[in-house]
Amino acid sequence: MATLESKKLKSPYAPSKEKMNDIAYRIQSNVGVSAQEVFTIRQTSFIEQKKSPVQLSVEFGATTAKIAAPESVQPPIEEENQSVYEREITTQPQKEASPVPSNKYVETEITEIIPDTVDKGLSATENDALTPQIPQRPVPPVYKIATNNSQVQEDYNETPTDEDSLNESEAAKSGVRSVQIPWASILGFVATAMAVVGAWWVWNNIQKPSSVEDVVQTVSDQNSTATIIESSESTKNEITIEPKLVELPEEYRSLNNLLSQQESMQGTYLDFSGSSEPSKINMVKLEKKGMIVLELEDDLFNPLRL
Amino acid sequence: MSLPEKHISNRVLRTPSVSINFEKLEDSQLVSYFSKPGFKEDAFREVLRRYQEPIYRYVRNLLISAHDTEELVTRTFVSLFKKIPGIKWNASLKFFIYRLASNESISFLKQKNPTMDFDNAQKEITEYLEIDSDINPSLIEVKLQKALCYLPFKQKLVFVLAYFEGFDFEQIGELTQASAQSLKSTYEHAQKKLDIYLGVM
Repeated sequence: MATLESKKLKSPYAPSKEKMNDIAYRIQSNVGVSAQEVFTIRQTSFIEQKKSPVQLSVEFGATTAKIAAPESVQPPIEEENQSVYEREITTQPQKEASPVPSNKYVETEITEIIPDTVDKGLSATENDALTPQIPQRPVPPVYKIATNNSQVQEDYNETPTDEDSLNESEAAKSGVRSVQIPWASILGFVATAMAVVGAWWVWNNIQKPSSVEDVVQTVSDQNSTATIIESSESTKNEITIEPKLVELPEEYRSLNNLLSQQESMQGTYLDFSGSSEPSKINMVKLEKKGMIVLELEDDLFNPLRL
Repeated sequence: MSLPEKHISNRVLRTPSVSINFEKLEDSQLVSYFSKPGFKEDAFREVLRRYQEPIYRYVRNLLISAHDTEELVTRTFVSLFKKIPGIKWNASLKFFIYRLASNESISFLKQKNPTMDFDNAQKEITEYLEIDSDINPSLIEVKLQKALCYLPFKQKLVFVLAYFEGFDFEQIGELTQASAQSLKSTYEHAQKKLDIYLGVM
């Protein structure tokens, strides 16, 4: 593994001259010195292009000698024998055109219109002879190029063959035209109309953003006075309960006296011996229930004196 | 008939008739021109031309951030210009500028983070390596910079002065007020750590 000792690395920070000049300007202005460029930036020198370039030679090696192309020598053009290209236009007797039949449709008449050649049963050569002859076009003269190639010259001297007759399409002759509906343009028109309608709808439905004050005003206007629900008399009969006063029996009167005392129960002493018999019985009952404590002077509870 | 207006023109100090080529002067000779009027500015510009770029690289090795580095370089040379008249030149100019830059860096870091501990690493400054556009993060040199951020600042300072700036340990000792032997062991420690970090990265 290569270590830092073996491989000396440099700092990756390479500030540009412009940056250094900026820092230098800042330092000089902070110090109060007239700011001048400290780091000079080298400008690339432009190589002037020569107006007349030196023509390099085609051959290997640097030579300034110009090699001119040889002058082309053309042999004289011989006059052609135009009579070779003349065509003999032969005219053959053509059958006279039959008169135009009437519009009246009669089967018998149609058979008469049918050309005679079908019924007559002419031979192929006779049939060919009766077919209309297409006039031959005159071939334009061919200008001979002076070449040394003898074969080319022979080819040019050959008489040209008969050109084939022009074959015209039946559709052009008949003049039938198919009507094509421009679906693309119709779809484009419909899409444009839909876009316009959509934009109009959006424009009308977009509401102007309202300010905070307007919102507050509208909300306050919307808030109507709250309806006060008037209390109605209930039809239900109220049940009034009158408490009945019941007199406590004598047995519980002393108990009631005890319970109704505001003072703390601790420290209240009752005169057991001075109370009446029913009170004594009740006190004993209360003691048994643990509600009061009767501290009777009883030697049984005193500690034994030994 | 009105009197002609006085033509008031700003008087510009004439440059001295003697032209000195400061580029050919040594540092000790250059220092002597700081005290001479008329030559101080040119001598200062020559100091900038010689030491601005090395100081920029040195501070950037410590702080990583380009923006902080520019500010610190400005501060260093401004304080140098202010302190030049009162300095007794018993040390080289280069050593003085580096000491000034180190002190400015430390005070800048303390100002930025008063609770900064120089015995701990400042890993958060590695993000500046990705933010600054003038750095190519795939270079091994940049990886070394990132690894330096994982060192404690004191180790980093010693390593940068010794590895990048070429100071010997005696000079670093004068700069940091530490012994050369301890600085050497600190440097070897830092080098081992960086070898490990670079092997991992």
